[in-house]
Amino acid sequence: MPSDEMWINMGPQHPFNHGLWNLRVKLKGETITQAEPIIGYLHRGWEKMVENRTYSQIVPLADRLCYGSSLSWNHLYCLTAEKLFGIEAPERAKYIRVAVLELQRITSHLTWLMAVGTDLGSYTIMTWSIRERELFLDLLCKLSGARMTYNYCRIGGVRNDFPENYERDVNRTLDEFERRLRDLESLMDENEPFLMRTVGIGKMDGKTAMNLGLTGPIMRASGVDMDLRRLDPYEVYEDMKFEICTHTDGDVYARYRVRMDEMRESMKIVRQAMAEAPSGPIRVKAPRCPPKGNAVCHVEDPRGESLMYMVSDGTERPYRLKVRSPNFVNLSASPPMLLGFKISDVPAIMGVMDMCIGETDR
Amino acid sequence: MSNLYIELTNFTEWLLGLVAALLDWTKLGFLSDFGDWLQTAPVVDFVSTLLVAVIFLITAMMFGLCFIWQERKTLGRFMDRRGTQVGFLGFFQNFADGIKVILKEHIVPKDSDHLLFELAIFAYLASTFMLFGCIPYSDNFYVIDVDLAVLLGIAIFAFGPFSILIGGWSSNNKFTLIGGMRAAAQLIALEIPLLLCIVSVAVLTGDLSFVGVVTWQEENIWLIVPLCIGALTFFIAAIGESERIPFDLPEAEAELVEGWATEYGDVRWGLQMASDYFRAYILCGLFTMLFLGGWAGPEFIWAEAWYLSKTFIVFFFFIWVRAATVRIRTDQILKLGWRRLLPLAVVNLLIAVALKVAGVF
Amino acid sequence: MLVDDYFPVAMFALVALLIPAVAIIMGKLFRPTKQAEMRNTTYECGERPIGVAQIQFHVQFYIYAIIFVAFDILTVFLIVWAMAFDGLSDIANIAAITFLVILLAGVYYSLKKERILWI
Repeated sequence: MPSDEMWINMGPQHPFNHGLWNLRVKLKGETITQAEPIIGYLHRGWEKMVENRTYSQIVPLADRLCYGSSLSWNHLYCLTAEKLFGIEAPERAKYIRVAVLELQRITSHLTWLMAVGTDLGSYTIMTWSIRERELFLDLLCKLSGARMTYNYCRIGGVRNDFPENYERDVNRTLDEFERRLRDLESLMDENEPFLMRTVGIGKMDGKTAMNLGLTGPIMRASGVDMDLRRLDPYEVYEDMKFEICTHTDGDVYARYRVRMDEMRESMKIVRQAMAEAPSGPIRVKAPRCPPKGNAVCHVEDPRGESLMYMVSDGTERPYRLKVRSPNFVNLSASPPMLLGFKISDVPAIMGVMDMCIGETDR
Repeated sequence: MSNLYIELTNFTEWLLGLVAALLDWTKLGFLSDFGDWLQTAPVVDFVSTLLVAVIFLITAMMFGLCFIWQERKTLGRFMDRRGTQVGFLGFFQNFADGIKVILKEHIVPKDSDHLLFELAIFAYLASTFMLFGCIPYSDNFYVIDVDLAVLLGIAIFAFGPFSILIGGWSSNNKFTLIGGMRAAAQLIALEIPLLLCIVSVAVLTGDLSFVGVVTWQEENIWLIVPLCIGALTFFIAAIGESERIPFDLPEAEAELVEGWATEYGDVRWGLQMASDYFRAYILCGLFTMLFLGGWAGPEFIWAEAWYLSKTFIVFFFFIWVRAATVRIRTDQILKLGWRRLLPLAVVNLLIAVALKVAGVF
Repeated sequence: MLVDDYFPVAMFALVALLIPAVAIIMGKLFRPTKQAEMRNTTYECGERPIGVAQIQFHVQFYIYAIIFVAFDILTVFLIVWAMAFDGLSDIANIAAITFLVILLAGVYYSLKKERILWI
């Protein structure tokens, strides 16, 4: 007699996989009784690859870790390398970095919203958030000349200063975006089917989330007040005034809410950083070879805590570079969230995680 | 417009007369007899009915394609983009898509049940095309005019979920299996409210042929006024029955790849996609007939044009709902059907009975 | 005559059956027919399928299906009743409404036991 349960491969070629990975679920009817994420389809050997590159050659490669938020990985690499080299970026570069990182956070969150829209079956959410993202891509393009892989940070500063009238452009865009964000929110918060699909789905309490090592918006949605921009400030985040957005429900809706609120806070930070940036140099010269030793740095990526650990043997190439990707850990914590929910909830639960396989598989 | 049947019977008589005259001209006895036989009433009836069916089906399919075009353009505007651009106002996109799917490969999965796999999609498509005939455009432009035309339409409509279930099972694929089961769930959830709304219409009008329902509405009032609750219920159930977002569970692409149609390729898949719109078109037509007075309207344009414009307006609301909502789950659709729509439909039926008993209509 | 009335239905069904047949034959004339070993395998997102899909599927809306059957028959009676509404006596109408109410009470009862509805 055949069993009434079946294993089903959702991925690597599945519309809800944003990237190549496989979620193997065991279904009884439509209810998930067991789940098992499988990765490795996009493994490029990034960590090994960079061992054969000089320090400055790795800067553009760090962009390629994630298509959604390439700048934050780029920045993290530069920050870690600076620590290893024993240099520090000038004050103005730090302000510029903070402003650009927060712009990148907004674009990343809008990309995530697009994915959530397609996962839940509303292409209007997708096209609207893509339209809004275009505003910020234009800004970043004006600054760095690229739309996706910016290659903007350098070891010891940033590549170039703000172009002419950049602050004015940014402020105009942010004013416009604040208006549009309200529109976008009304499309979801006042939408009964959206609430039916998100409220109470994929629940996880703060304690379990901490034990599983979750970070980022998913962690904050479970009521844990953890943001590295506050706990361990890097660059000039300690001077910035912003709230850490948390939510207590720990369900899909809470995760969605946290990210939407975060976009508002990011806008605040961008405005402050642009206004308070002192004048001065934007880059210091970095030596070719760092001293022997190691350095570790962690930052608050749009997806959670990302960390780089770098070991130098005194040559011009790193001896070892280890990446801790937030998605890798968040993904491994997904089975407890999925259990007991329907197969229809898989895209909702995994969609709000903001999967980025580039950084997960490396 | 004059009656399609009379026009085409006249045309057939003329055509067959011409053929008979040609056969007579050969001066061969048996051919002349054959010509005489061609002019007998059953043959004329057969040929003219065939012609009516073909003409009606082609017209209906053209308007079905207009629905696809309308969806593409309107949805584009809702999403702040332009929609399709191929050809005149993007209308040729449908034909380009048709040519494309005809050129695609046909793959039958080797583990599937080959016979049922082919039969299921064939039944689905044939029942969809069959539906076209059920809805008349006016009291002159029609094919099928039977006493229970509304019921006939619903009966053929219910064929769809069965073929989906069989197709999903026979593909031997897990996604299609779940998709097929969901089609059954959808039928279970929404069929009863839909039928109860039709019952309430029948109570008031005392007739289930389209001509009767529309004539009643012409004489009294559009049924959407007394039966507004029923109209709303029917509208929601119709969106569900036509498998559109927010109720497109059988082919929920985010979780089930392409749902029950995952294993189908080539022209079968293309026609299946078109069928979704054709079925939506039929349900919009049903809504127009039952609640919006069908082809009734001031006579400065054709009755058919009234019917079609009302149908397009109803479909606009279908698209609006699609643009604004997300897909819901199977358990939620069952809850919606049994806890929300069924009570509404029963209340609507009681209102209809009360109006009838009180002698308002 | 019933036969005369339904003759167009039969004719239209014939035409409706022809359309997909013609389309499929058209496709057969134009489409490529390459064969390959992996091409005919079941699609499961690019992975090898785990087991077959024709299992004893756990139909979770089974209870709903049972209520549905009862109600479907009810609607058949109701349609007959509605069509003949004008000529019926009050007692017949009351009987029909009672029938509806009894079934609705049954539905209400089963919907209250929500836990067993979706198993």
